Amino acid sequence: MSLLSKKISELQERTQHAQQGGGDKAIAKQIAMGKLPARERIRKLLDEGTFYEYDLFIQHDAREFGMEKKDLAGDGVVIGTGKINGQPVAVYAQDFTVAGGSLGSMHARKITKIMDYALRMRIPLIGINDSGGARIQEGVNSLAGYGEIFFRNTLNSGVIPQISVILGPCAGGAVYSPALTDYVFVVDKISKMFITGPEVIKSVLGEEIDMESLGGARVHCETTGNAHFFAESEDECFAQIKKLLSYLPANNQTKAVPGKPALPLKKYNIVKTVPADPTEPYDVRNVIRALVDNSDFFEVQEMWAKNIVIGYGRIEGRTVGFIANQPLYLAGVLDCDSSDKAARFIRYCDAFNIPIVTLEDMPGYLPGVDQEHAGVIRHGAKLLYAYSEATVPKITVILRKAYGGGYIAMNSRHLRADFVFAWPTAEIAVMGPQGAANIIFRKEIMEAEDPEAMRKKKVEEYKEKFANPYVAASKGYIDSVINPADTRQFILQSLDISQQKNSGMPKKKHGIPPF
Amino acid sequence: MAEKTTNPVQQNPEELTTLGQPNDSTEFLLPATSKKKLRIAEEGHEYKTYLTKKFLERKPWKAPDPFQVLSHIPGSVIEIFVKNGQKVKKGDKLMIYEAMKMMNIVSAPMDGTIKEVNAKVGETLPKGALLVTFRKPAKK
Repeated sequence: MSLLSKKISELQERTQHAQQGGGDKAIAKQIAMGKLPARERIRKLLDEGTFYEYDLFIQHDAREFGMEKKDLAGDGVVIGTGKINGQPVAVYAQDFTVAGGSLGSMHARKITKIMDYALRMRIPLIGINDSGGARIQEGVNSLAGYGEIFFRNTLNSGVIPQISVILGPCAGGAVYSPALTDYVFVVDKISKMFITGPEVIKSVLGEEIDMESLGGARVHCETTGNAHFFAESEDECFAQIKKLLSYLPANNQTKAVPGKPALPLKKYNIVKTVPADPTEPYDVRNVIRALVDNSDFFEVQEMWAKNIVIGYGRIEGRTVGFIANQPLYLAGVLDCDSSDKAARFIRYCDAFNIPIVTLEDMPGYLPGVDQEHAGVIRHGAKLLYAYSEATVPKITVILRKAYGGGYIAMNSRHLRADFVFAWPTAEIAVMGPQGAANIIFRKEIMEAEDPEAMRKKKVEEYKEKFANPYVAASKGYIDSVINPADTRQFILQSLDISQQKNSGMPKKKHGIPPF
Repeated sequence: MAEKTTNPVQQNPEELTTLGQPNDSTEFLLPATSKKKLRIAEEGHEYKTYLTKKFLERKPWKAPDPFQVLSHIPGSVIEIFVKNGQKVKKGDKLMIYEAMKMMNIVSAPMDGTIKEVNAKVGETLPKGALLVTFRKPAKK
């Protein structure tokens, strides 16, 4: 055997040893939990044969508590680069089979190394989380590792897309990296996220709750809003990631790779979807499907704050971010959660050069003590802030109701919408006809012989005069009243016109949004 | 913020209720005299901290009952489509519930049998009111 082939076979041996992770037993246990091993996950996520791994031979540097005798393959994390949809990405995956995927200083250094790569190369970063938490034996070095990761998450934010995939436990301080990234993917029965577990909660507060109800995938998708995409299996989750990335640019200096232009499917008829009677609910997602290429709408945070719909679609191949009130849930009102949800999405689209289309049909902000005390003022302000601050092309279509503060907040002309269109069914007014008539004609109604009949008469009068788009059109607050059937055409021409949009903001370090 | 006292825990002058003990070395104690202060005894040291109003007024978590359909918004019942004992499929219309200028449709969250329709036509209800109860299937 020549010297070279000896050296090469040594490399192969070392590689094989390092790639076995926690060994067959640990891998079998991982599979028994319904989870895939780390390298298998990366293989499935990336385009075939595109993964290149780095830092395979990293050794941990703990010298206490008998750790010096332990050999931890790759220190419990796999990092590298590859391609998704033919576009380069950086990726890391924690390996639960090695010391429970616990985070020590070298483990963290591998993660921060790939994060720095991603920023330098201006490519998306995907982190697969599956870890028991800090490596206690490494003490404060482990905490330092988390801090370095959080700092880079913040530094990278708005420059490159950052995606977190929770495929196992992610507890304690570790949850804050996903929370700082753009999109969090979870899988039913596999993902678990919480700051303190059920045992601590029980012993301190006496509240009994199981892990799934406390921080399972469903809870984070439906209740907390921490997660953005819910999948039944890891395979489904990887397919969702690929799809999301297809809509996004690699960084904030470019635009997303355009898709092949196509017409919406015939079965989505925009005119038939929306009832003319403003009290009748409908699914606004079908309006979006009637507008986008192939009727393919990719919804974000589908299960949380359902009264507002956010997500991506394409119009003539170009990525567009949609924000739409959803009359099917809570009458489509704005409240704390829906304002939060929409505001963050607007900032995302703005950061990554994605034009925003707003479909408006909402009765206003939700009244109630719980909303007021939950801070609907503070949360609602986020929506105003995000729309006002966004400089990407902003297009609004008012389908039916646009009342009160909600009218202003939903990307009105006054927040510098570039194009505002209204359907003939639009009702743009300071408040609904009932409430307005009761206030304006209070005296006449009270003094009438038959107050109820007078009230009805005055409500009708108000409806006739003000519950339409023409008052706002007469002031130039909306640009055109359009035939609903022409909506896609109007959006398309607006996107064409605003391709080179350049609207400066005053120079500042940064604003102070109502966080 | 918590303030740290360097003295090891002596005999406590106040009567204390144990709020909980997350591990062997830490104990949360709530003085009986003032519900607004929390004392944390850890490894022989004692921390004192005030509790917030929000913390004191918090409602303990209760597991939601999947067989109850609750209102998500204050509103009034306009029309009811189902009766006690009726079988329904997931997504079937249960009632029309008017709120925020909208005739909202309340639909069945699951396949099952209606045990009781708790709401009445014309009723004005707050958020979280019981609208319909489903029958719990017999355990197999």
